[in-house]
Amino acid sequence: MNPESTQKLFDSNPFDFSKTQQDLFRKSFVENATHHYEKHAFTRKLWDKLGFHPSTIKTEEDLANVPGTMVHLFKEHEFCSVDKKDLALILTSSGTGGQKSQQFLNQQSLDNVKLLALNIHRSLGMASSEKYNYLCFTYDPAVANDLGTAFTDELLTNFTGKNEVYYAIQWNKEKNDFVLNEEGTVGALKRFASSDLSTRILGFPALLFEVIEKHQIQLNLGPDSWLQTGGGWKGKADKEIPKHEFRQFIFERLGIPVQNQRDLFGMVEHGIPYVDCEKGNLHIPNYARVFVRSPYDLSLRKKGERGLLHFLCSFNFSYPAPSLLTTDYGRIGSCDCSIGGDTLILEGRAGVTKHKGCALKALELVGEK
Amino acid sequence: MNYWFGEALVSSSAIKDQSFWKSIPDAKFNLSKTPIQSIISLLDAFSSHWSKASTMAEVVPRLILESGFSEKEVRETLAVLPTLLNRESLEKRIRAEFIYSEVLDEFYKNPHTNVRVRAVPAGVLLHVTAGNVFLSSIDSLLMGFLTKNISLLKVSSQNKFFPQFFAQELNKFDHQKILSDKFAILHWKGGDKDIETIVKGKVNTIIAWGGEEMVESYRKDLPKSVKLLDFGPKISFQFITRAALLHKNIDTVCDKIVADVIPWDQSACSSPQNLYLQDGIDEKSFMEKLDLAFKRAPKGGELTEDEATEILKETYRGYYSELMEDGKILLTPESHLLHAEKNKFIKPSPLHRSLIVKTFVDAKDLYDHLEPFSYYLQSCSYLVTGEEKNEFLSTLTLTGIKRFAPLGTITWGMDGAPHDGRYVLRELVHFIGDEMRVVDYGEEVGHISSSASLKKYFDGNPHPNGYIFSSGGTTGEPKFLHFSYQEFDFMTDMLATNLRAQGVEKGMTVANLFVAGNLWSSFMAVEKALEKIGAIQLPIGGLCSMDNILMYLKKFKPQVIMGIPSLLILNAEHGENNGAEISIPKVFYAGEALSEMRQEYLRKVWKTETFCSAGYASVDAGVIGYQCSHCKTGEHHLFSDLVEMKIIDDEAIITSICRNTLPIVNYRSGDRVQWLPDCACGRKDKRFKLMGRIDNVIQIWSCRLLVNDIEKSLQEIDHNVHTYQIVIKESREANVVREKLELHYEIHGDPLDAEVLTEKMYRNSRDLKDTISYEDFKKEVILVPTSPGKIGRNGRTGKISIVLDQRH
Repeated sequence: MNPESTQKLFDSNPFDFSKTQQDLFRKSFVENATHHYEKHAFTRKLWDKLGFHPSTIKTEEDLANVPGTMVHLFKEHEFCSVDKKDLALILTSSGTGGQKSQQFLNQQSLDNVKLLALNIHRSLGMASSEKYNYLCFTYDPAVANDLGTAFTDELLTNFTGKNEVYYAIQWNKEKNDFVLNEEGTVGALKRFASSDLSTRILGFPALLFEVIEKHQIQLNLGPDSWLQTGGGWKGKADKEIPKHEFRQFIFERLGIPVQNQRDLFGMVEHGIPYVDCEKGNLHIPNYARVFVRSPYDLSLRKKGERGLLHFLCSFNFSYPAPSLLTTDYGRIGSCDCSIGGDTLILEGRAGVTKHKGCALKALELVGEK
Repeated sequence: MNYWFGEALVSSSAIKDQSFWKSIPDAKFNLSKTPIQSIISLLDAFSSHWSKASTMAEVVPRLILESGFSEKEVRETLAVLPTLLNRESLEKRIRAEFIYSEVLDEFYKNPHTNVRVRAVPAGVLLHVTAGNVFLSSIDSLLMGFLTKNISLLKVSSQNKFFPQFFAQELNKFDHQKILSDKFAILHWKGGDKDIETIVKGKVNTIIAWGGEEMVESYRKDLPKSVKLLDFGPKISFQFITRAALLHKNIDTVCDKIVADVIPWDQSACSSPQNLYLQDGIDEKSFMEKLDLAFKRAPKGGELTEDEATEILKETYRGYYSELMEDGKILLTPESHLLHAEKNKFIKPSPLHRSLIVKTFVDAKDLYDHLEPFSYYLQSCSYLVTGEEKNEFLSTLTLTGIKRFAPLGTITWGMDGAPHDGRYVLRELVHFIGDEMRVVDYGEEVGHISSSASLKKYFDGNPHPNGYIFSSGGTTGEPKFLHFSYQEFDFMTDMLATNLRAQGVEKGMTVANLFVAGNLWSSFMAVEKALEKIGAIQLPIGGLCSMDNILMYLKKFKPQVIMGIPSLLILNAEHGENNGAEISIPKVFYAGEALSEMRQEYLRKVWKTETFCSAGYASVDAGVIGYQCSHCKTGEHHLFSDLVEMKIIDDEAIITSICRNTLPIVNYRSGDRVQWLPDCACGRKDKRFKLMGRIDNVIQIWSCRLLVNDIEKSLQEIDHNVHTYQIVIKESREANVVREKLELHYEIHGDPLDAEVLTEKMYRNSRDLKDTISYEDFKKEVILVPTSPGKIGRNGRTGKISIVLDQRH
């Protein structure tokens, strides 16, 4: 059972930025933050050390005073604000750079995340009662049901009616690993192109791009087909092409209209989906707040300036990440579409991946204890 | 801008054109023929030029911008360059790895082996440098110069300016084109497959400095003919023991810790990232002191946002440690970070003055938490007590650590020290061996050389670096010889081998009673040989007063004594006369025979159990033979690999490859020898026995008495006296062994005046005056005039043996 403000928040329009709705998020956040302050020792000690208490949040501006818990701590320690026997789902990320993230969800939090995702997609015109064929460039949830991306894709397929769902990354017994089934993927695309139903493609853009290029695919999936990408160009950054070029490429090769191509940014630890509008901008819903901070002293940066992204959310009562300081660069932007609110502009991963010298960096230390 | 063998090159892509590589073979050939001293001289002169050059104004601002280091850091690093380039430093590096710089120019005999060795450059080196310390790329280039390799220096985007600048300055300075057209400085974007493939096909060795990803990219698809020297990412640390910290000024210790950490914003592989404090040291109060030391230190360079993010991450780890695990975090933003955590395993810090503090129990505990990361461990600076040092260092050596330095000195490795567990210069050459052995192809002996020919050679040739020794000449004048250091080193190696074979071991106390000085070699040779064995030496010398010698023998109780027999006997007698109880189980002798009678005496007085020859050698020819435990007096094995011995008219004729500054080829030794059957010891080296001198020199009373001098004395009194015989005997008088010389001469009529003859014999000898008083000499000489025909003749030839040595 959600606290009162939280329940109201997730029953509300995610893109209503009226004063009332803003207050609702603030109140919901206080409910959530107070819960974690009371239930999670590290969060409480950290906030005490840094001189913060949830009760000090009285205005929208006060939200900027909430200290973040830095994201890597969630990878290095198991943070949970409820008894683990009460958890309904544990999600893990795909582990870019070798470290896996995880999120603990009790039933209430799981219900919340599903609801807020549906609300957001519906508000962006992406939900439908029509049936679609789905090609998911992700792990088969039947095997990898705790991986965040698989969960997300399974979740996303529930916003419409479903016909065939093809999961492209499948468990290979011989290799004892997940592998992309290229032949199967090409077959599915061809099958969907000749189907009466429209298609929705979900998943990593790099994989889709590779398959189209490698197999010289030229199909028309129809004007009501959609591409919902997410996860960035992980591990294939050298092949990344600009977003607008990619959208044009997909239109030319698969016939999916540019406005039906929507990228999604999400983090396992944070849980809020930031989804493209039809103009290709990631919109920040009222279910979250995003601050941009200086990596030098965590001071706030102005709208439009680059810095570390700092997210607030209030849906999860089992995972103490109401205030998450990330190692991602980004900026707050605007969009002239009808949705309103600020947009999120991602600018890549912060931190040193390659030291300029021969001193060892963390990721190189294999077998780290 | 790139630098290509003395020319500016706008883009490194140009080297994809094969024509660019046409000049490389000639450059390679010419550089390999350039004497190493020319290269050193050029760099040394360039070092002085650099010291004087008013280039700082141009260089410093660019380097601050490019490296991100503070101005102080940049200036201090630049100030090191002249030291790197000066002669002393360069020669030290070469000596540390090659011992002799000559091996880089020519085949050069290693004194410890019988192989001439030449170090030949690998050819073309590709140095893939890291961007951390701009000087390290120049150091890598220097390694190429010192090994006469052509160098292609691939610089990183953070370190483009300085190597180019260095190249241009060297180009302006190097008018003779010794080095300036033998290297290139190139920049291309990492991962440019086109260039990398071409370069991989053109070079012989790649030295890769930096991150793992880069090293792997060069390892991939590397032709088998190309050697990769990878210096991948490394981590360094410090440790301090509880006992070592007692009575130390904590502030000073903390300053030393900081001095290790802050250079180049901690980006070098030798920069400590973790500090281990032994249990019992109050970690938290120590950190407070350390925090103050960082605050006292000069400011570092500006942080990028990425670097600041890494520090932020460590800060949050610190929060966790402090709040949940009794750790501690001390952060001074944009200055430094100290994080004490409970996890004991070594781990990388975010650098830029970030130190992770950990604890340990003892050496084994430290070992356990380092060893899993052995591949990555590089330097360790330490503060331990003298008593703890061996235990800690020997245990930590097993972790894979490559280098130790006292706390506060980790930044600059010593010239000549190995880097990352390697002697890098050696890896940049091939060692070519010319194995030298004496091989008898059955050829006739042609010209036989004598001491006269050696004298001529000595007088007519420059003296090599080394020693000039004197040996007793048979003409009555001293004979001089030169020995290079290498020859002497080799000779003493062989001597050490001989001594070891006869039971002299490390830790034995050995008295050296050979006579030092006067250009004599024996004392020094024994001293060096004993040093190589690791003996405890008593360098007494034969000229020391017998009272002192006796005192030393009583006080230090040597297990071994070495000297010429006469001196040994004199000292034994002196001890006996003074009622001293001396026990010396092993006696080594040389220079004279040690007769059975003398051995018997020493067995009695010194309780000696074993008598050994210190080896058969001459100052002229060097080592010739050695004794094994089966050899009796005068018997030796030949050093067959080194020395060829032929016996002509009973005399040993020596050809030796131990000596290269004097031509010992078919050289008359003056020793009468006789081959013996194979030895029971099983050694294949042929065995022979010394039968005395052939060149009319008598070893007696510790001097060399010439038969010619005796003959001259006889003839000065009566020139008709021609027939004589000298008989050497030993006799025991009371407890003393005496050497007696009997001079038998045939004369018609009255005998010669004994007093006059004795006095002439004494005066005509060069050596006698130095070793025996006239009064003593008179007591030991017996004149035996006899009628003509009375001296015994050889029944077959009718010849008289001039010297009869009856001491054997």
